[in-house]
Amino acid sequence: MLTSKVKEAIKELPENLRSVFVMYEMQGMKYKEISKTLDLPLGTVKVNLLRARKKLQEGLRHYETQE
Amino acid sequence: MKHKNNNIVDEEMMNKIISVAYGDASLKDRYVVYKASRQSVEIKALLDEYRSTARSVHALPMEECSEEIAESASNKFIPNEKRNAYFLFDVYSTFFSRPVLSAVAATMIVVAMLTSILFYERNNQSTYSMEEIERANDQVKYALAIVKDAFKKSNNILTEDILTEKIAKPIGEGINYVNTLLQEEK
Repeated sequence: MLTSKVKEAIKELPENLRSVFVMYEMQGMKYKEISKTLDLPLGTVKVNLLRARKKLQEGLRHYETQE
Repeated sequence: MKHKNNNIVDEEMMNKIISVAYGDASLKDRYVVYKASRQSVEIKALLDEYRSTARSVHALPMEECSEEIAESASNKFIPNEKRNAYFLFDVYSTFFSRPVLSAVAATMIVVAMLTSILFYERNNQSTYSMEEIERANDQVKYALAIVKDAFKKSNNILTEDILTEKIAKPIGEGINYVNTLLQEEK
């Protein structure tokens, strides 16, 4: 999978999902840390991360169908 | 199960697949997903698809994530005291929020305790030399001899002084006195 496509798909994510996704997946932060930093409940962080992962996958599928 | 019968992956299974693909699922979920992926081609395809994305995401260098997000997630927002608290929370959650890990930890602690007790007992047994044992034996014999001597002395006092002098003699004298009285009356 091309890195540029993944980067593009991450950029396309809504702000709230993107922040959680990048903090967790790329910066290696824990749920608790993200919750404190973004001032969000722990449950919301987990849900946003799951949504971001799903949305990212959908975005990548969308890129593939366009090609 | 829905994903087996209708070839449609339900929401719960979907979430598990995603967690497994990104590497943060529990052991139980991993087992469930791997088992399901062997039985369903669709689940296997989904797992591979998400796993491929996860690999690409994790391979992205840090510098390439947007500055705005990097700044918002910067460590400067988390003071050191809070970091320590997170560390303790992480340790706590690692061991106590997962029953498998807590069971393993408890078993390890019990095994360690038993091992240390056994080693301690063994070490205690082997710390005495033959000389020390013989000396202790002599001391015990000496102590018993003292006790024996004390018993012997008290036995002598009882039989010779108390029984004969203070009890037998007065009784004998009393009987003699009674006899003389009886003889005088006759």
